Amino acid sequence: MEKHMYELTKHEELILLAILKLKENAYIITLRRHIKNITDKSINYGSLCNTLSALIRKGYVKSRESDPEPKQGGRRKVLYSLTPEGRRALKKAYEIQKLAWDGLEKTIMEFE
Amino acid sequence: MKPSRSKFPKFGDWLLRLFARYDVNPHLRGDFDEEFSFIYETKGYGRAWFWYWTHLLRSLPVFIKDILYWRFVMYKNYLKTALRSLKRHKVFSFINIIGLSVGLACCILILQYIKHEFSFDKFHENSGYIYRILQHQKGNIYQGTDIFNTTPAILAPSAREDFPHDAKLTRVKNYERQVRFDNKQFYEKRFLYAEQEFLDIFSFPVVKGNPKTALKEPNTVMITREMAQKYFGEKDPLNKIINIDNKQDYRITGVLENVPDNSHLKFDFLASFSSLLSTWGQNQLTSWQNSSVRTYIKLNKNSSPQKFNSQLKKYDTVGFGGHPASFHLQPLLDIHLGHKVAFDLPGKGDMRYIYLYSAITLFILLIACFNYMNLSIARSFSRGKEIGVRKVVGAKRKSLISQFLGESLVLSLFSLVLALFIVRLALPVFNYLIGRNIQFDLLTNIVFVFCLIGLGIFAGLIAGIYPAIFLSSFKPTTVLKGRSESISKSTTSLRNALIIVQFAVSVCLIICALVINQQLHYIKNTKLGLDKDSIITIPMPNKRMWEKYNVFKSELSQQANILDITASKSLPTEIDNTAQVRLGGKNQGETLRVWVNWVDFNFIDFYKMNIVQGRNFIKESPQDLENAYIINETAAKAVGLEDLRGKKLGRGQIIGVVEDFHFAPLHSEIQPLVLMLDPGSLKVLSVRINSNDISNTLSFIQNKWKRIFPDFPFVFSFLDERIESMYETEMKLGQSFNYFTLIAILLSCLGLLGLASYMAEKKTKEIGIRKVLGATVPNILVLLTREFTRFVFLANIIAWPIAYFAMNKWLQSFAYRIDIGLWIFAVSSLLALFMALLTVSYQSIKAATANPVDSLRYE
Repeated sequence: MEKHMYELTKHEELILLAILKLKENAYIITLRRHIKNITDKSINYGSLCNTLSALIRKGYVKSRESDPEPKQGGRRKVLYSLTPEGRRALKKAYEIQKLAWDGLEKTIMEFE
Repeated sequence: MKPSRSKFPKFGDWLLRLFARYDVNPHLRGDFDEEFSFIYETKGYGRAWFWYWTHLLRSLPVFIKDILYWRFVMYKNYLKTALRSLKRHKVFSFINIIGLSVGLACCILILQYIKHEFSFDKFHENSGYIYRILQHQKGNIYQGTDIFNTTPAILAPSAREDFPHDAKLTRVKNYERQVRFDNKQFYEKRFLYAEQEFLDIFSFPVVKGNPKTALKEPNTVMITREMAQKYFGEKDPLNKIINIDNKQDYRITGVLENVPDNSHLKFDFLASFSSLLSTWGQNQLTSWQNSSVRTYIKLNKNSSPQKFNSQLKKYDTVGFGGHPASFHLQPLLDIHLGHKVAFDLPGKGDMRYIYLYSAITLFILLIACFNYMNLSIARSFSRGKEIGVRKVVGAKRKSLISQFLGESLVLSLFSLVLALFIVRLALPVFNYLIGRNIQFDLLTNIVFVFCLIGLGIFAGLIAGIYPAIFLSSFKPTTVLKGRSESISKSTTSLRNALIIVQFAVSVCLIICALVINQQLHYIKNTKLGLDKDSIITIPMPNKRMWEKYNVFKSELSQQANILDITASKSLPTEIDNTAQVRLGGKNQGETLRVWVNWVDFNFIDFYKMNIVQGRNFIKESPQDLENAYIINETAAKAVGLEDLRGKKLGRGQIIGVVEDFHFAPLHSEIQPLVLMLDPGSLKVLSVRINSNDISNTLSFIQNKWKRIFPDFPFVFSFLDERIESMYETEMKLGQSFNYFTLIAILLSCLGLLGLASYMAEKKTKEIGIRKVLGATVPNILVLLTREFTRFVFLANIIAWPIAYFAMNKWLQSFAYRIDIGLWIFAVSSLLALFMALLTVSYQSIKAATANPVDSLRYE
C-alpha cells in the first residue's frame, strides 16, 4: 500500500467523478455532456479521449463493451468504470482537498 | 423529436466503417450516431449534420494513416516470407516460374492470333453493310461443296440496273499477270480487276490519284505503295505506263496504301474492270455462263440482307452441267472465318484451328497451374508452422488466404514479364506455323496491356486459389504439434488426380503428333503413279511464247544434263479443269464429269506413267491431234467397257488407258481423267534434269531463256517441292503439334520432378529404416517409382479414346490415309512412361543410394 500515488490533475479528477456519478451509464457521450453541465464549459472529444486512455493506462479506469444498444443503432458501446485504484485515488484527492479547504469554506463564500 | 434512420449521413457512416480501426469501429460509429441524434434533437438537422462532418473529416486522416501503416507492415512481412520461401525452395520456384511463363507465353501468342483472325475486314468503314454474293449450284459438288464464291459476270450489272436504290455492287476478278516497266519484269499474282464502285464499297485508302475516276477508263490501274517502290523507286508513278502480259499497256491512275494483312482480299494491282473487255470480249462480260467473277455488294441503309436475298431470287438460273443455280449474300465479316466455299482465296482462316490452338494452349496453361498447385500443397508442411504461428498470433483465415493468393499473384506477374520475352523470341516461329504476319508491339495497345495483366491475374488465381484455401484451413494445434502426415494424406488423391490429368494431356498430344507425322510421311511416300523427282517446272502463261517452244526445246536438248522436256496445260499433280462428257459418244448416253489436261505427245513417257491398255499418243499424227483421248483407269471403269478399242467418249476417240495417278492432293479420291493433245492450250513446261550439278543446269536454262524470251521473266519451281507445298497446312499442323507436345511433356515432367524430389525428401527416414533392415537399392527404386508408373498408366487409359476419336476425325479429311495402328498407342505410352521414369529417376537414385546413417542420425 506504500505504492506511490499519482497526483490527479483537475481534469482527471473531474472525469473520474463523472464516471462515478454516471454509474452504469458512463460512456463518452454522457461523460462529455455531464462535464459540460457542471462546468458550463464544453470540452472536446479529443482531450476527453486522451485523458481517458491515460487513466486506463494508469489503471484507474477500466473499459468494457456494453450489450447492443438500440440508441446506438444496435451497436455496442464502450462503458467506463472505476477500478479500486481509481476509487482510492479519488479518496486520496478528496482527503487532500478537505484538508486544504479546512476552515476556509466560509471565508471563500464571503468573497462574493 | 428523434431523427428517422434516413436522416443519418449514410456516406459518412460508410467512410467510418471503411477506415476506422476494426477494434474501435462499432463503438465509434455508435457514438457518432448518438451524438448526431442528440444534436439533431436539440439544435436541428443542420447543426447535427455540420457537427458530424467536421468531426469525421478531422479524424479521417488519422484513421487512414493508421490503416496504411499497419497494412504496410503486414504486406512487407508477407512479401518477405514469400521471397524467403521462393529463395529457400529454388527448384520449386524455378519450376513454377518457368512453367507459368511458358504457359502464359503460349496464351499471349494465341490471344494475338485470335485477335488477328477476328480483326479481318473490320477496318472497312462499312464492314457491317458489305456482303459477297455466293452462288449455290445444287448438287454440283466441287472442292467438297456446292457453294461457290464466283458468280456470273452479268449478275452485278443486272442487279445494278434492277435495284438501283438498294445497293452498290462491284465485280472483282483476280489474275496472275506479267508486269513490265523498263527492264523490270515480274509475274504478279495479286492482280485484281474491279469496277469504280470498289473504292466506294471498301475503305482501302488512296494515297495518290482521284478515287472517283481512277478505275473508270479501260486500261488503267492503281498500284499499292509497295509496288510503286518496287517498279518506280522514288519516282512518281502517276501516269506512267506499264506493260501487261506483253500485250497491253495500262496507265497508272493512282497509288493505294498497302493492303493490310487482315484483309481477305489481297492485291498489289487494282485495274479497271473495263480493261478485261479486250481479253474477254463483250460476250464473256455479259454472259450468265462465265461464272468466274466475284461480286461484292454494299447494302444501303434502307435495304436488308433478307430483302436483297429475296430480290436475288430473280436471277435463279441454270449453272454448270445443268445444276440449278441461285444466289445469296454472305456478310463480309463472315468470309474469313466462315465455312468453306469453292474457290476460296488463299489465306482463309479456319474456326477449327482457332478452337484447336486455344484448347491446346489452355491445356498447357493448366499443366503449369497444376504444377503450382501440386508443389504448393506438397510442401505445405514446411509452411504449416508459419501458418500455425500466424494463426496463433491472431491472423484470420481471410488474411491468410489473401497472403497466399498474393504470393501466387506475385509469381504469376513475374512469370508474365518473363513470358513477354519468350513471346518476343517465339513470335517468328509462331508466325510461320500459323501462316500469318502478326506484329507484337506492346506499347501501342493499352487495352492489350490490360488484357495481359488480366491474364496474369487469372493464371495466378487459378494456380493459387486451391492452395490458399487449403493452406489457410490448417488447425494451429495440429501443425504446431508436427502432425504433417494427416495433412498430406488428405490431399494425396487430389495431387494424384492432377498428375494423371497432366499426363493424359501429354499422352494425348504425343499420340496426335505421332499420327499427324505418320500421315505426312505416308503422303510424302505414297506412289503417285508418276515420277516426280528432279523435274523443273517453268510457267509459260503467254500464248506468244509457245511459237518458240520447239526452238527452246531443241536448244535445251543440247545440254547433256537436261534429259527430257514436255509441256502441258496443268502439271500432272495439279490438274484443275473439268468437263462434262457423254459416255456413249457425242450427244449419247449419260454425262460423266471428268478432269481434263491438255498435254504434249510425250507427256506420258516423260512422267514415266504406264499405259495399261491401248497405245500412247503418236507424234504429229493429225488424227491424234484432233480427237484422241487417253483416259485413266478410273474413267475406264466408269465407261464400263472391258475392251476400249474404237470406243468413243464425248466427241473423242479413246486410244488408250493410263494407270491411275494422283493428279490432286490425297484428300480426294482419284477421279476420271482425260488427257488430250492440244498445242494451243499448253501453259507450263516440265524439264527433267540430271540431279548432279543442278545449279549449272539451271543457269544454262536461264541463259537460253533470256535469249529466246527476252520479254518474259524466268520463274521456275521443282515439282516435288510444289507437291509438298500442297500439304502445307497439314505440315504446319504437324509441326505445331510437335512443339506443343514438347512443351506439354516438359512442363509435366518439371512438375513431376518437383514432386519426386519432395516425395524422396519425405521418405528419407523410411528409406533409411528399410535399408537398415536389409532392403536393396533396386527395392527402394521400385518403391519410389511404383506410384508414378501407375499414374502414367491411368493417364494412358484416359488419353487413348480421346486421341483416337480426334485423330480419326482428322484422318477422315484424307481419302488416302493410314490406319491408326496399335503401335502408336504403345509407343506413346512407352514414351510417356520413359519420360516419367527418367524424370523421377535422378531423385530416386539419389535417395536410394544415400547412406542411412545420414538420414537416421537425428532419431
